[in-house]
Amino acid sequence: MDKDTLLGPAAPIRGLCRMTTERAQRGYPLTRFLCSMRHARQREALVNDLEGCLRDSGLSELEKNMLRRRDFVAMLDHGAATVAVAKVCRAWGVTLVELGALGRGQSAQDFITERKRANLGQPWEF
Amino acid sequence: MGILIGGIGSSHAPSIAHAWDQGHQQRPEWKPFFDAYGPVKQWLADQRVDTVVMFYNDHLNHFQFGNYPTFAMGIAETMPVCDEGDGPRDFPPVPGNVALGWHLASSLVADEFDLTICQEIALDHGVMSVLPLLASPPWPFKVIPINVNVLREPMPTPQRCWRIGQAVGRAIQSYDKDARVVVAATGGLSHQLHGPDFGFVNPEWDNRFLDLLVEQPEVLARASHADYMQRGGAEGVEMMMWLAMRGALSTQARPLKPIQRFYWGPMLTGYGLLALQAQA
Repeated sequence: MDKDTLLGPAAPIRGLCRMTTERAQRGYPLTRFLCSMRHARQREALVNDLEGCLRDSGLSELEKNMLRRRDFVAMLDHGAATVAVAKVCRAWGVTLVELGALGRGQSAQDFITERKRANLGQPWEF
Repeated sequence: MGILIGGIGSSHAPSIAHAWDQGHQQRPEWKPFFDAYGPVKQWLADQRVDTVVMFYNDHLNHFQFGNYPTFAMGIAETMPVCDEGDGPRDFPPVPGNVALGWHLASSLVADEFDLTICQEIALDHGVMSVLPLLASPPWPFKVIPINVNVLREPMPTPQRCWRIGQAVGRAIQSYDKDARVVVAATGGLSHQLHGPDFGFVNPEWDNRFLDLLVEQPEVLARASHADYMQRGGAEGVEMMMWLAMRGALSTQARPLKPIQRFYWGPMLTGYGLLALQAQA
């Protein structure tokens, strides 16, 4: 039996954004900035003085605008690492569920409801 | 003489650490998940395991893209817990097995796996989501962490993960001092954390993966990154790290004895747990 048969069917995942070297190169400055949110002083600066935080960031205006708009989808499209975006979300108090909802244009509650519906009938439901 | 006792695969989602720290172990939705680790924890104790070699991925907490290895091994007497943004979790530093670590490093490089060696390393949830479920502090075994790049292209192939696991298995058995070792791998299972299908979980693929990992791991080793992503989501590519654990076990002649298998896919991630014994 060939490999593809044994692996089973591919899933129809929409908007699958594969990592590429081009995205790695373009996304590096933004990823580096987002990862600076590991440090408490940077988180405070982001929350209390976003423009001051961005001033010395070395980011382009395009990248700064993504942060001003809190446009997480644009950050990921630009090439920022998913785990780096999660760090700025945490600094702003945005949960993973809220991040998912934002990306889908939903409220967090609608997102949760939809995920639960998607999981209905599965053996882990209780 | 190094003895490879067996292998463990486990998800390492940060939600596990959050639920643990919030004391959700007895909540109805989490209890079956946490309870599933009980037999594995007992097995590690019964087998007097003294070292766990753990394949995992750091999440840009210790390593940064400015200097980012494909494979990196931590060889340190103790390894602190990372501050991932909320301060480090309240766990003691993790002890490392320096002597076995250097033996593994030497063996792997001789085997043409050119590792980055880290004599200082902090451990994030790639290790620390799982460790408290496998043992209670003070940590009863030492850990040799091996970070795998699953975050940025070019990533190692699944085949390469399989082969480095085989090299680790051989190296453990060529160790001339006493060591009772388990090889673990963390990550996955299916999860997709961007785009219109954010939150996609694929239990059919996750369970097929667990079946194949036990019975036909070479099929998974021959698969491409795209094969993994198109079934388990882009972030699900980290499932290939489990092949390193299974590769280590493939160096054992004896049939593998199942210790535990558990699966749960409640919301944004397929959580998996698998433990296999290679030798008594």
